[in-house]
Amino acid sequence: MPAAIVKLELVGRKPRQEISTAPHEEALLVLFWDGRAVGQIRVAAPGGVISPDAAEQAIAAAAGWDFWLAWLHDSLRLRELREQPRHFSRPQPMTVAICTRERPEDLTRCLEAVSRLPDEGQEVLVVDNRPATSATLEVVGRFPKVRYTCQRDGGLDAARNRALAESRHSIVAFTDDDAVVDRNWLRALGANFDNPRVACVTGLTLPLELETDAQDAFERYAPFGRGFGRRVFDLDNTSVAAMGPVGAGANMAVRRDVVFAAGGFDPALDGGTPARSGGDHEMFSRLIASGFQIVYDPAALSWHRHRRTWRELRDVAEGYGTGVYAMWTKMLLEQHEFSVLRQAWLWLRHGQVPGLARALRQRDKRALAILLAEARGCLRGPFAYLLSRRAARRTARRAPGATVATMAPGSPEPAPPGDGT
Amino acid sequence: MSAAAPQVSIVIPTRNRRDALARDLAALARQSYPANAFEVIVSSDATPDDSREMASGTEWPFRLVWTGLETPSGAAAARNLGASLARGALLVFLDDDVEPCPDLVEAHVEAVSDPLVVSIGYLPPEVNGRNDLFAITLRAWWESIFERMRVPGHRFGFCDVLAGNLAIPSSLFRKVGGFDSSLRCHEDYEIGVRLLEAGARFRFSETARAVHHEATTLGRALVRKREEGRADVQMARRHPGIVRSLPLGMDLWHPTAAALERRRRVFELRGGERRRMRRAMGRLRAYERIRMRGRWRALLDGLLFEEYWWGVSDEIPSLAALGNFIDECCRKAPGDNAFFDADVARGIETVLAEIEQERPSAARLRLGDWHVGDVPAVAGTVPIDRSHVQWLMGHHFAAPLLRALARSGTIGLEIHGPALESRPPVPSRPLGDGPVRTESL
Repeated sequence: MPAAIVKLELVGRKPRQEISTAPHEEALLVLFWDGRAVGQIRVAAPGGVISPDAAEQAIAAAAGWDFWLAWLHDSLRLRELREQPRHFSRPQPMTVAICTRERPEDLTRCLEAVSRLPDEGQEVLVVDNRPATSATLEVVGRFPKVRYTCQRDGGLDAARNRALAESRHSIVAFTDDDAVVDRNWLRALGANFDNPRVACVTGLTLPLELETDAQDAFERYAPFGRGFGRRVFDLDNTSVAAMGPVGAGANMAVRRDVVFAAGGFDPALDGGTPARSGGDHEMFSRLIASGFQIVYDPAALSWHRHRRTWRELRDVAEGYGTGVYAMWTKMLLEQHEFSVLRQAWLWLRHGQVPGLARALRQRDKRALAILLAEARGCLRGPFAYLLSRRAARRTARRAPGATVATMAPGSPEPAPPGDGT
Repeated sequence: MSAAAPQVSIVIPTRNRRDALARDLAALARQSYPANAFEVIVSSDATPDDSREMASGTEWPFRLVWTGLETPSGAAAARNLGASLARGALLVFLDDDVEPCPDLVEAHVEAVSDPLVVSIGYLPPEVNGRNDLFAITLRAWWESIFERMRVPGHRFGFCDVLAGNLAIPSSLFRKVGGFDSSLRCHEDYEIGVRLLEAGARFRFSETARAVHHEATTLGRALVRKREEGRADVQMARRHPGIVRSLPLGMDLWHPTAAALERRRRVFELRGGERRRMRRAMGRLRAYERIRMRGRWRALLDGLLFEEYWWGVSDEIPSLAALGNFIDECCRKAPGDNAFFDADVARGIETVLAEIEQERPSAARLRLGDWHVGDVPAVAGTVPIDRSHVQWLMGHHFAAPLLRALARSGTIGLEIHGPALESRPPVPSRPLGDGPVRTESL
């Protein structure tokens, strides 16, 4: 059922306030405490209005642990304590990279949001992945501060590698072209890099719109969000084969030199290759295995436009299944990471089979369709990876400059003529 | 060379690390701090290599002083010898295997704002391309030391003092009597105890960075662990109170039966340890090959545990003698068990201000009749201040504090078992504004 997305800031909010959701009769309320998302809840809005009583009840029901913790930190003035002058490292400027392929409308909205970020010396880089038209170039031309570069072969991971190689700053934040970043997004990601052991930070991704049944189903069954509490992942608390809780590449920042040292993103994985996804999680896995930490920080908020049609959604679900098994195949074959066998069994035993059984029992056709598409992808994953790896190696032989092994850190200059503006 | 006394004296103890020392000195030549305002004193621990020729054969922009011990006596003795020749008001101790960043001296000078401040510099570990499990673990261990110091409410203690990159006002260093040269390791922890007794305040200076080229191997780490066991006994003899904060005082912390049994075996089965060690090293390699990281880590921790207790047993030969030793330490330095009563019902700001004024060694936090948490007295740490309690309440004690506030009706939370659920209304007043309702349930 379509729903309005309502952002509700609780600090300074007038009590007993009516909320308009017209023309929607349902809303997803996202609660904020002093600019930070702390909870969400679905609320019925008969007549396109949430009454003051219903709003208060919904707020109270959604105000869980993370909300009260934010309130407590505010009461204790912990922000002031953190910001006291210390002899600590200064924040570093960052590169914002957007890898895109033929989505000019989405890209325009994404760049508009990125342009609204506070200016802290960041550069913005658009990587046009295998362009078929000049649409992306034209969009970038309307944003004078945005730099354009082109990755003519490979998939999303090849484009990510290109962004790392072209970036001028040592921390590179990635957002999808179909996402809209929050004003505090970049600052929140960057704040976590105070600790040199942190190689990657992921953020909270919430739906930009819930206008169709498919978008609603995506948010209910396979949301990007990983909760409203900050978490730190490392070898002590995380299996290298289970990267689901860590976050997603649609909203992440990485330390460029660490990713280079780990070999870069695998061009045989993720969008634009037969493996279809998994490139972000495979990199997370290598970072964790190398002893680094990954932080999930919900203060880094981004809004993602989910796929609008069922066909697209099924395709995405199948792609996720394919990507997970492609990633595991790589880990097993190339890194001899036998823990993937255990992880695959655990997912089947505790995730997929009970999920399918529940969907059948409740005759939930939407869940069933997504789970079956995902399962189909899982079966294809290993073969997709082998196919993808062969293609990536062929590409690498054809254009050795594009391979991970020969990547060199940061070109200080813009992309060469012919590749960019 | 400047005839006037320099403001800073950098002391580098060295032994048989010519190339590392050359890298260290070259990095000091690139400091942002004026080269004529600091001197570098290299203190050789009877180094047998040609480090001296290397140092004296190069033109340095700073004044370089070479001194040395006749026989190997350890880094502590070398540091003391170097410090005795220092003319600067600030002593900066650097190890020979570190590479100072250009801002290091300037950052230490800025951090040491008065004669009682000790600046602990940052030593990011560089494992030089090694990617084996031991190197990964070693790097993570080093970083974890600095992670805890980055926390705004960190309560500094003697274990935070790392002589590899440390700045101490000369007057304070002389007042405490320098390093204890009888110790072959943990001499920095030991001076940390005396610095705290002298009223020093520790500060972590992240911008005073010196890259630590860490070449420790697994075998060396095990040997070092044994030395630490011995050193801890020697330290506890000198400062009985800190036995509570050392692994040595394990009995005082309610250890697990498995840990006690493992320690008993160390004391009883001292023969055949080398053979057992070789077998364990083989298992470590096998676990690493098949990526069994959990087993690998458990085995490594077990080996380090045993090495530590072998070191202790070198000094104290039996478990009975160990028990007597710990009892004796506790008798000589009874712990401070007086808790400062911090009732949050008086208002957060009021309680924090009282703690800042009182600076107690231990505090008990409560909300009316509801116990929130204890900040215990920890031997060899600074007294509790406002920021420690502020941070603890927002993190370690957040759950009990929120539960207590919910029970008192101050906030709209409903308790169902361990989980917290909410109910209206949203808080209507900030916690620190004054007295809150404190009725008991």
